[in-house]
Amino acid sequence: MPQVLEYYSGNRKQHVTVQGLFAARQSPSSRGADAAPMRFPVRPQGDGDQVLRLLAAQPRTVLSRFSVVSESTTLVAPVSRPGETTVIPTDTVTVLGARTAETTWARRKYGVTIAQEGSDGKVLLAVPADVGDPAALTAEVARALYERGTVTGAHPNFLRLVQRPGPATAGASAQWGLDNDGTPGVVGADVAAHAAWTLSAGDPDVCVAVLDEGVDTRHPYLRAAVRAERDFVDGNPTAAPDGDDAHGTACAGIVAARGPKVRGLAHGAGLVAVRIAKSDGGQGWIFDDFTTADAIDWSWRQGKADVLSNSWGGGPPVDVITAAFRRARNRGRGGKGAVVVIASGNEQGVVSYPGNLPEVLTVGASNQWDQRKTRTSQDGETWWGSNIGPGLDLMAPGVGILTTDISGRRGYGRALTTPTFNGTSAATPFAAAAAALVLSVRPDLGEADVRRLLVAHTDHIGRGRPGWSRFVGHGRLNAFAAVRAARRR
Amino acid sequence: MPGDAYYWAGGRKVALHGSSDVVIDVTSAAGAQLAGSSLDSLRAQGRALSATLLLVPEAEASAALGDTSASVAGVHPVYRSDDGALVVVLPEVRVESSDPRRLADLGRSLSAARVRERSEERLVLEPVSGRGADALRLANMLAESRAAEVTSARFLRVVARPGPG
Repeated sequence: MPQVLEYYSGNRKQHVTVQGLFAARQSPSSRGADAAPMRFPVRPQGDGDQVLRLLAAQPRTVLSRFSVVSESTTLVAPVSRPGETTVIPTDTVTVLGARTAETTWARRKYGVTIAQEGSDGKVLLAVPADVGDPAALTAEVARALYERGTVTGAHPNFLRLVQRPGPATAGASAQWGLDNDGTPGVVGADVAAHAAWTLSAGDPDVCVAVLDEGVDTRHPYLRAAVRAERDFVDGNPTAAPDGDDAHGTACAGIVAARGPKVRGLAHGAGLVAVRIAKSDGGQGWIFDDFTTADAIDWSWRQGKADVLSNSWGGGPPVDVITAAFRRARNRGRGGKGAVVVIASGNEQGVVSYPGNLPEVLTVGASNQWDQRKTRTSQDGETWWGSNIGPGLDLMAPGVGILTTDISGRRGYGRALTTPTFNGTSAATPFAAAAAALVLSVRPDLGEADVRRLLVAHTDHIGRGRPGWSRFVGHGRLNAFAAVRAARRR
Repeated sequence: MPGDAYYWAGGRKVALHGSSDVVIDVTSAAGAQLAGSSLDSLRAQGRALSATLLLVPEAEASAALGDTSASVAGVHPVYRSDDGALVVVLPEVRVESSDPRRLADLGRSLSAARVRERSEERLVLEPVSGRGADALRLANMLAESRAAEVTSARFLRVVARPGPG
């Protein structure tokens, strides 16, 4: 017999049929980013069974999702099922407009504690750990608080089975890096894009420069985003790539694509295409250090880029490139500094140059299971692994990434998109796009502030303890958490 | 065959390992000397790094240019870095300083190089010989005398091409 919870919303009694029950709880002190892995000893019933089991199987990675559902401002429409809505009760109650006297009353009567204080007078109360039916108690506490007439609202805090918003729904399941539905992989092993987009999809005046082997700036998914372009290799009037040089177009799509099949993480932001490399016709990539340094300078000076995305590296360090990055950080954005984002490299060795420079954001690659990408990780791409060690800041999706492709037979595929882009090359533009989202909501921040926000609001992955590790840096990028934190700062 | 070499970056010596290749600039004196069938033959054996730069085995270059190949303008050394990248030293040195007077003094004091480009913060120098090896020597000399904040010889690097495997 399904359980029915009764509470008030819109001054009316609401009834929710519980499909599954989240019966465990954490102590209030363990709810933050440093929390131990959550456990979900659920009593699955009916249609909630599948999603609950999925959550129970992957506890760590849903921590950020619980942050999402604790804020009514970030909830999106629940999935409608014939005749009913699926929700998963937690052991918490959302209270709006509560004064201290009300929470004190609730603590004395029901033993609830304050789990989290949100913005605009929201408080999340947690019912005691030892209660037999926490979901029922949350409804009772909510009803009692509301009926006392001294709070604006009170209702059980639900985890909802949500439908992804936006027109890219058809392709979204393939864009696991944005929002991972666990097929394959782990639910929530992603950058939380759709949640981030409830705050910003990118300001058109915030620009990300993609320094690479050229970008197909006439690509139908990219051309609307292009604000500036320049070819530092051959001096052509556009940054279009040569031959089968598809890498830069793929990177650009991860940032700024706005097509029916692919959507970039910062698809509202601007794109600056900068061509700095070309293939040697084989397995090599040719760079000229001086023109690369000039391209870095141009990106923030003439190109007006706020973020520089660098999915390239390798070879020995040189001062001329190091100095150019330093200028970007110090003088870009009118002195607030352009954010420099660099790939860690794909040799499963140590972070390569220039990713090993200080005060840049260095990005490694994770997979659909929230694992560090190695030659033996679960994704099956046995030919590469993400570089590790000093300088590594965070991880982002880098396996089987659906993104834009140069059209025609010389691309990675023959269509406008490719589903197989990979590497720390793919991970880097995710982080660059997240930086653009942060700057879209807080253009006043300095580049160091942006880097700090991105690394401080990652999701912990890996077996080690939370905090920095040489294998995964500070964890996997969570664009939503970073943007939300920026807005509150 | 160029032996091992070094340069300075971030205040540290960085090792470069010798390779059996050189690069010939086909627009230079070396290119002119090779014009005709020798150049065609080298093109067939080598690899074009750009429209003007040809990577060839040093032995082939020596055979085509004679014993003087090492001193001909437009023949540049090729090294390997510790991570396996191919590094070609081109005949150019960039010097950057926040002190414009210091840069101006430096530009006047060098006899083995000419100033190709000058701005308030930067000098671009070109060794009179037109050889990459001399650019590396000049850059090292300037770095060791702490003439400026940034001193780099111009490198062309060939690294592994990323992308789906």
